[in-house]
Amino acid sequence: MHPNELRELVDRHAAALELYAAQWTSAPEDCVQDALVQLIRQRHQPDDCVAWLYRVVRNRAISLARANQRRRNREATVARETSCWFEASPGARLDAKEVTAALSKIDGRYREVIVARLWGGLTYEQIGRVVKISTASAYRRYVEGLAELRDQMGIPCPNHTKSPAN
Amino acid sequence: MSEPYEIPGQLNELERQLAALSPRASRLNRDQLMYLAGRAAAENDLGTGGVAAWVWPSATGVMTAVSVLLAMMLVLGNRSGVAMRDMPERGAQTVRDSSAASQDNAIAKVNSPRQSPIESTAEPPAPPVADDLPDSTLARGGYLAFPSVRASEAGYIHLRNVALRMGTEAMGQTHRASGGPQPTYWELTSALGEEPVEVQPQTEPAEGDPQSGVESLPAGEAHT
Repeated sequence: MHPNELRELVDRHAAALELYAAQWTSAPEDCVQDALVQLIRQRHQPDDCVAWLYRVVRNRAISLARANQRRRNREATVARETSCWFEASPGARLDAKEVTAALSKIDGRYREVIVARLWGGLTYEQIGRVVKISTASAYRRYVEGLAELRDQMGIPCPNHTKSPAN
Repeated sequence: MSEPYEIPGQLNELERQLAALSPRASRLNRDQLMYLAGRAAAENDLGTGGVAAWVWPSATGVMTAVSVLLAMMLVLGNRSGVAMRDMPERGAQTVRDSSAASQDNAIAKVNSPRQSPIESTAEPPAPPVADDLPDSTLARGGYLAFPSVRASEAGYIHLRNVALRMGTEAMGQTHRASGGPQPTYWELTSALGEEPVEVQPQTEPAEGDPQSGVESLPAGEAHT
């Protein structure tokens, strides 16, 4: 792999990969760095480098979490150790810390699909390969996760708010 | 590629608002990452980390195993050699017989050069054993395996002890394992670094008298 390709991968996907790994471990940058170095070591580059990176980062983060024996209290630990997963931007209508807290509370199966889809830019098919589920299951988890996240953030459902008015 | 999956309308707004958030900036150490990436690429070019990485360790292991095996064979071989020299059947029980036999052999070999000059010309005497041996054999004290090549007094004493304890047969087996002729008196004396004594019996020995040559031998030489 050419150094420019690696630099481009880091520029485009490092932050999202760290966010993805932060679901399981408090040292996501180590997982991403190891995954990138492992990608360099590959004699044959994978067909889908981005999906491959997400899968490697996921495996490393889970292994690290298991090694640290934090898997039982994963949500509480991540919420306590992670200050904020997002940059505070003035144009955003949602509060970054609030979204972080809501994400840390929802089911992990939903969360990883939402992170990979929204901020990683993966397709449902790629998510299915990373998580080892079908494409339809990835889509279903995404929709259900968004609904659960909305409930966690206390955002009223448009249909419910409209129904009393109707 | 367009995906056939559509997000329900009530979640579109939430999805858009979430997508507007940007993840926290990466905390990757780029310099360290580039260094590790370059190192990994160099290792790939050198072939380390793959099958080639096992070539040198495997070769080293095999050579170590062979060295240990050869060392064990060397040690065990030396031990077995000592055991053969100390075999009980060649011990004190046959000391007297062996000593007598060695005397007979010595006498026979003393008599052999002058018994038949024709035979001696037809079959030239074997050169001294010491000339056949390489210097390294002499330097490392090979008198146990080649008892006739030790010229010092200690070698002679040891040779005599070996002859008394085990007999000349054992000496002959180790000395002439290749099936060559038995060492003659001339060979033994020349190997001891002494001038061979010219044996000139004053009287012609009587036929069938095996003790005829003993009188002409110097004292102590008959044992060799």
